[in-house]
Amino acid sequence: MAGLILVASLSIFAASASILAPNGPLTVNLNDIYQAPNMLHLFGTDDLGRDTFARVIWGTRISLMVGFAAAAIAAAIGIIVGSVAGYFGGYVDTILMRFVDVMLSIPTFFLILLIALIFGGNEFIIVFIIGFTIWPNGARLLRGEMLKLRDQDFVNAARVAGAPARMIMFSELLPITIYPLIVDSGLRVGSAILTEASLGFLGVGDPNAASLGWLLNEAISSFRSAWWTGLFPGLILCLAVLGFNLIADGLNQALNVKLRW
Amino acid sequence: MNYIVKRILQALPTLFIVVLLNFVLVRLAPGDPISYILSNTAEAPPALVQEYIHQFGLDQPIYVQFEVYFSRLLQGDLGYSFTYNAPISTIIVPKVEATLLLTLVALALQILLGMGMGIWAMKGSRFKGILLNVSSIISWSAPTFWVGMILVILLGVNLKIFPVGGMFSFGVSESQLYTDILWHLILPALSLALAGYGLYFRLTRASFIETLSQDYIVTARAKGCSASTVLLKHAFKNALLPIITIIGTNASFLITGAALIEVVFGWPGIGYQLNYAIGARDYAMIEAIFLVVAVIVIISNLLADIAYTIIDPRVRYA
Repeated sequence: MAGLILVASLSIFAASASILAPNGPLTVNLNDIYQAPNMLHLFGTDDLGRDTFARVIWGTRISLMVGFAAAAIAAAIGIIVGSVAGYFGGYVDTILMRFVDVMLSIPTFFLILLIALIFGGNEFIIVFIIGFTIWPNGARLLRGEMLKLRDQDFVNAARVAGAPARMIMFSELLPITIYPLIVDSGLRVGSAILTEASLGFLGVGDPNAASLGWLLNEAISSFRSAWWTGLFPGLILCLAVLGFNLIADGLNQALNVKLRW
Repeated sequence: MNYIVKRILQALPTLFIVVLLNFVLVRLAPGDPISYILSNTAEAPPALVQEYIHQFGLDQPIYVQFEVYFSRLLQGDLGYSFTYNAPISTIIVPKVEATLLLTLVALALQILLGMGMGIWAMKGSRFKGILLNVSSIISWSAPTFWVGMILVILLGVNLKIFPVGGMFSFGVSESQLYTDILWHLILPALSLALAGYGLYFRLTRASFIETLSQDYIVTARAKGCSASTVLLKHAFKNALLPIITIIGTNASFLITGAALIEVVFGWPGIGYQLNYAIGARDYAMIEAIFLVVAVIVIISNLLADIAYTIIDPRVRYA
């Protein structure tokens, strides 16, 4: 519940970006550099006199969108791979799950970083790269659930009645097996937001997009003297991830799924 | 023993896939692959570049390239960086050591903090439990590098208790070097620990709750053992098992956090190096770092699994 409120208020905060900060995140004002937070600049200003509040609010937009989009892509892939592996079993299952094991045992962040650097890093591409690398956990969870149910009577009955595999998988089995994947997706939104921010923090991404991670990257050189450049972007980032983790936690308890954190 | 050998053999394909991935990615890259493999060739003399192209077999068919690449890797050759004009392995080894030092100290702190709080939360009021629980979720959500920044502002800049960056002070004498490094290590390690203990806290708690409901614990209590004896002597070892697994699976998360925290503190490890390489577009270096980190993570997974079998004999015979 607390998570829902947090995410909802952050979404409203981000959605009203053009009302609360009509000048956008990139307006430079060289007369106002490094201003501490005051009534005019709630979160202070940075080395170019840009308003940190405006930058944070626009950055929140990007972070939330990246988180949702990447988690949606990951969930879609997870559903397909997990269902196919769990329902068909056998060789298909072995091969897919070996692949999942490999994906889960390599440092994904460094892989994402390498791909983003090689194939260019605008936010759109980064969303896809993140989505395509964080699906394995969800796929594995769904596969486990499917495996438990694939030999139940109602599934056999459907099979005997001539229902195609696609139909059994997605309309009979998926609705009752998807809960762990939903919980996992909540966690994925948080981790996608963190991953994108970490990339930005290391200087990978589009500087003009001014995501929260990018703000923190700029803060590396200035936060020791101008603490507000580092505090506020990170605080919002933390709240966003916290919100999604709390939602996932709440869902987990509500759906009573045994899930490793 | 058998199990351990089997487990090691299982890790090899993963390692191979990582190497293959690395090889393929760079060759799929748009533009001139040679400038990815030998970084920043623009700044290097063409004759030297030609020599290296020949040495790395880049003028030959792709399978020969892979053979050359793979056999070089086996000899510990990670490529050549024109940004530094040196083989990457010589640059990267001290960085890996620095990162490992940071990671291990941070891991110890994380476990200590997480397990300590987990056990502490077992007794006492419901309110305390909820409070600790919330703090652990916050810890799990906070970006490590941001926690690092906050600690620097609070303890480094404002209170001036700790140094705000680097690995040692300038002109420190030989005899004081180790204490000086330790002094510089505290803040980055603490940031990592604060941003990561939540996982161990939750796990310890869940694990203890489950273990304590088992029959042998009830028996021990019935025999008249005190609560703390049961907790620390009987339940501890079994409750420890999932934590060891998590150390392995969490290695990748931890080392990523360490890499990011190094940038905040200027700790001269692979993360710091990575940040520099990104700025200099030194792809060969970035690739090498990915490989090294992958190897470290795979080995930690392996070690965690082996440690598990030593503590829990059931796995060996399963």
